[in-house]
Amino acid sequence: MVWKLLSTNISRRQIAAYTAANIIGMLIIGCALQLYRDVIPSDDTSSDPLGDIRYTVVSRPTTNAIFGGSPQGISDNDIDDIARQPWAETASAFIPAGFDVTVGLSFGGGGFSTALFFEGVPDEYLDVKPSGWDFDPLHPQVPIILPRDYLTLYNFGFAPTRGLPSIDEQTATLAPLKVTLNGNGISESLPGRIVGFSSRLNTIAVPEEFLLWANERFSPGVTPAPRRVIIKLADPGNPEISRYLSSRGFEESGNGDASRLSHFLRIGAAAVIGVGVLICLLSAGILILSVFLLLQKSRATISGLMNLGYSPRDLSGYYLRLLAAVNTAVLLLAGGATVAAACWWQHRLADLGIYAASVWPTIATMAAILAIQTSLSGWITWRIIRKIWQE
Amino acid sequence: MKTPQRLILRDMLPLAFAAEPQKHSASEIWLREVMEFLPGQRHIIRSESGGGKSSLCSYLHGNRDDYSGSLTIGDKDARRLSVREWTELRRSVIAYLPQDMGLFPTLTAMENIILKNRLTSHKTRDEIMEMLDIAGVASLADRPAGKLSIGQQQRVALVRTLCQPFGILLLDEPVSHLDQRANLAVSQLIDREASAKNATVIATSVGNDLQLDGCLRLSL
Repeated sequence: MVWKLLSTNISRRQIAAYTAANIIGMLIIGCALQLYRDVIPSDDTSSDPLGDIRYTVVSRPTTNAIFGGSPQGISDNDIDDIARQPWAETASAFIPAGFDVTVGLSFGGGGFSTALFFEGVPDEYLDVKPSGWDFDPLHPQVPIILPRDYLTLYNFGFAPTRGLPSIDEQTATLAPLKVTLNGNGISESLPGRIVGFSSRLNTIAVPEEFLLWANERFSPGVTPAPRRVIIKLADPGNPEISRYLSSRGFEESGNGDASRLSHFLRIGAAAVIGVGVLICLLSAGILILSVFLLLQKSRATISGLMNLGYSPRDLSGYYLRLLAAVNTAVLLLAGGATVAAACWWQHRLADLGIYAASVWPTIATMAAILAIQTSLSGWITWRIIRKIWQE
Repeated sequence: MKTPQRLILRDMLPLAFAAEPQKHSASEIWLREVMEFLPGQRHIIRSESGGGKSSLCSYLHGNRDDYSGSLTIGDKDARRLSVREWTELRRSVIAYLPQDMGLFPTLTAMENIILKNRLTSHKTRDEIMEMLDIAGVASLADRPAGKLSIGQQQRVALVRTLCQPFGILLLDEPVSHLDQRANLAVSQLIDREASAKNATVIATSVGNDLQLDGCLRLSL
């Protein structure tokens, strides 16, 4: 009955205009947010369409190395300083080998061998955790992870020109390797095996535990300075990363493009979200103006009801319920449309090997925005009705 | 809230009257050092038009506070009462019939009454019908208030005013549009309801007085 009185002056057109504007605004916010979350994952457990943008490897350039210069080392202080930066989560050095390495492969009575290098990488930076990735000093065997690019280079570059067969990753892991380590006047051969291929690490990686053991044995008392650092980034698109690394004389390997793309995507998404927020603010403005006009038109009714004993809170409650109902409809429609749109693009992204983020955080964000909008409008309504009381 | 039935006016005067001493020089209420309305007392406050009757009712109902002096309701200064406290007073202490009646024309007579009664569920539907019957408007219960004559509206509004608990019954020219017979009927209804609650009755008038026994007549 009270609502019958209060709703007399409600303009359906104004409510419809507000609802439509708010749906469009929320849809833009929802889609931009979800697309951003799909393309730039927030943790390293999900797929990473831009490459491993949460990891980057840096080194100090060795421009004169070919003429006798040596690569500049990276100190523990450098690594600690990197790890303290707000955009970095953790940083760790690639532990270099202080001994010579030769790897040989025997097959069918023939075989070949080549000089290689090893670097030790803490397990937490691996993108693959293959079985056999461990080291037992009592039964030493060297597990190796190769960059995936090396296999590609062999299969599509080297093998066809030499009439050699292509090999897949599974076959490569079956090859028995002979790893010869030279240093400290000792030469020792150990069995080795390729246990996996990495897209993240551009090095020939062995377990950190093995390298520490081997350095102790083949180059005792010498601790070679690390030359490369792997960084797990907390904020991959942050432009401060490049500035910091340049200022400290570091060079990023490989990750720069992905990082720039990530930064660009972030700016793009922020701009689109900004447009959505602007539309939502405008629609909230329409709503508040409509409520203001409505209350002015209903002034006598509101005053009469307060004379009967209805409080400003009672009366604003009726308007708040209307706002809540309208915004619930906005959430259902804009949320539903966002989910439908996300399903459409997520199918296409899945074809590219990109697996989508959950839509629930996006829906929860939309619900939170609408809840704030509803509460703010309800509070303004209550304030206006209180003012009518005081007049 | 404890029912505060005592009303005390001290040196009260509408601010608009301050420059017009002729308007209040003979008043038995304005600018009295202490003017007290006690439980069970009935007052008819008479004045010509523009004498401040509606202003007084507005002050007592918390709609306005443009007066000098003070007003105490129970043991509280009216100016210090919060919106919540005024709302509570309007629901359960001060029943008010404004001069313009305040009926909502699009609602029926009964809907107008229920709008008030639902706040405290003070009367049953049968009791409401019985009061409408005494006032002579029971047959109009389902008619939109806007379609009723002024006299009929006045009686419906009076019944609505009685549909709440009260300790103070504030009636602004309650029978100004009623004939003698209707006046007597509503006077009897008011007497019955106010007596049952030992309420203070304050009714204003420009000449057509409420026919209550034992009234103190004051000029404003």
